[in-house]
Amino acid sequence: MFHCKLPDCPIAKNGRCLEGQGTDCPNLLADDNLDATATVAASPKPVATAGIALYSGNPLALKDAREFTGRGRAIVVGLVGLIESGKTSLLARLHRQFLAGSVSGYRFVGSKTLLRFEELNWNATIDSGVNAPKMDRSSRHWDNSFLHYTVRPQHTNDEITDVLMNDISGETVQDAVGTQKTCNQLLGLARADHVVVVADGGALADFAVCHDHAGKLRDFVQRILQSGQIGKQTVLHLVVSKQDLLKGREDAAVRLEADFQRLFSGQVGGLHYWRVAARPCDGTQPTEAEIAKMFAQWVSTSLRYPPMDFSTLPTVDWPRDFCRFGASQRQPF
Amino acid sequence: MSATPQQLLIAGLADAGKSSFIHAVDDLLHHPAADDALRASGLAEDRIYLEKEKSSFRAGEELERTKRTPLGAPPELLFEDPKSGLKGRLFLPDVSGEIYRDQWVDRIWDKSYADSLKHVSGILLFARADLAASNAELLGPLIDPEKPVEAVKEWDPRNASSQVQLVDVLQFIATHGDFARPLRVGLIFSAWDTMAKMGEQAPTPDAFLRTDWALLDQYLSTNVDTFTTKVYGVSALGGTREEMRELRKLAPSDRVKIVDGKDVSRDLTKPLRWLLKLT
Repeated sequence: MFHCKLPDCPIAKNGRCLEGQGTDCPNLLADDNLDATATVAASPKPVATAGIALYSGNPLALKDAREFTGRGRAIVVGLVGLIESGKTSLLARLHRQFLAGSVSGYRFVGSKTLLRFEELNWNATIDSGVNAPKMDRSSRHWDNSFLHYTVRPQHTNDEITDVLMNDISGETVQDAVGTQKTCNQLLGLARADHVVVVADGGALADFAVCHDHAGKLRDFVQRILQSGQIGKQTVLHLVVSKQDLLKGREDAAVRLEADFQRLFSGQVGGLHYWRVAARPCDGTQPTEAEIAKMFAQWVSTSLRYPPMDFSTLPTVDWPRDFCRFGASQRQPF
Repeated sequence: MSATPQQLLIAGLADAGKSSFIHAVDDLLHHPAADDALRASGLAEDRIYLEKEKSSFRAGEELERTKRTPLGAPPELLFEDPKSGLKGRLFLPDVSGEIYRDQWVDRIWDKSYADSLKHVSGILLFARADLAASNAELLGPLIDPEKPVEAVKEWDPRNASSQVQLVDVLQFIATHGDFARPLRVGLIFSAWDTMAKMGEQAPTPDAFLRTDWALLDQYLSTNVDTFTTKVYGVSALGGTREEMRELRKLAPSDRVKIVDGKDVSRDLTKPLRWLLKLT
């Protein structure tokens, strides 16, 4: 079994790398008693035998995501919510929207995680044989990894923007409510331009669980504010998902929105509210317009690294500033 | 003019119409319609694959699903432009198209494929006009939680949406390919006769790409520093199995059609001329 330099990495216990890099993690230490047949849970990696290894198509590990955050003004979005609240369905819906065309005026330029996007959509296709859309639970394995898009505004030659979406598992969010230590391990949140808190509309509509559901979400946001992972540099979004299940219980969503306004509006840089249904089961269509608007908000806004207006600057220190402000001429993906 | 042929790669997923096209072009190159038309500049050393199906193609019969090429030279056509003296080599690294699906699934490039890209001047990329670009979604009235489920198919990357696989194939080329940019890509929608049946309602190939293969369209139009694209609709066989009963009475070169914008002709070498920058 492997051991890790990072004290909190559970790899020695359950084989899962804290940073999601598996056997490639630079923090790994070989054990002298290593069982040669031991395997580490990791995303499938191409085996470069006689050929050239291509990128895996799975969510980007931190080191791969840094390729984008280090070269320009990449937008990082953290999605949090309890188990089966609809975070992943939201991202899967975004992929479907790009399959059909541009999203809110943003054109698809590229993605390194198309394989994973297709996998997320599989159990909502006719060919899969399911009778209703299903989504597998997100594994903790992806907690510090990112789905990826590169986009460009339509009808302009504006710079491209890389969007990195960190889909954090519901189990982790649940645990993080209980312990700050779990929160601190969510490295993507500390860099997030946007944190999207997904509240399960179905849970809010259920009297038996709505108060606990709402309470846990409030506590989680409180945790990440306390740790400094989010703050004035962050735009917070409250998304009430599964709008089709919320019917008749909109008051629960209104109450949660009011709580967020009261508790958090003064502590973050922006606060937005959305009601969506990414995969409605009541025969209605997904709320694509709303999801598209939210995506446009993500791409167009960064309080962490706001775009510079170079026309007002007398000089620009190109070597020092290009990385932070994306002023270099980058090749599209 | 240099005697070294310009290398033109054929790419596309399995069953995308690559074999039918190469047979049809082979026929045209050996029977050029005009003095200044592209013509064959000799027979490739290894034509086993082409000759195996030649009689079926000429008879207007449906070609069998192409199996993976056995070890040996990739199928290739050698041709030249009599006016400029420019020579070309149109080749398939893997006739069946499985090589591209394998790249998508296994995330690895064969070294010989990587080497073939080093000298490539253009790509003919194939997609079927009569097959969906994306997997159909279970939506609205199709959702029925009460309906008994017979067998749920587990996720297999091979079943991913066709246009997504093609975009990744192009992204791999953009990232790892060693070629002069921008690279010309002739996008061929095969089985275009199915579109032509719509008559005046039929879209142009460009419009069809925009509406039905939107992800691929976005990718190609936002990566113009890497790829320059032209879109064609092609019917290399001529029609469906039923329609071929009549069409087979015509010579192979009279069955084919190519649509370039609003222009319709039988000159399937048009994309080759464009790739060679002759037009």
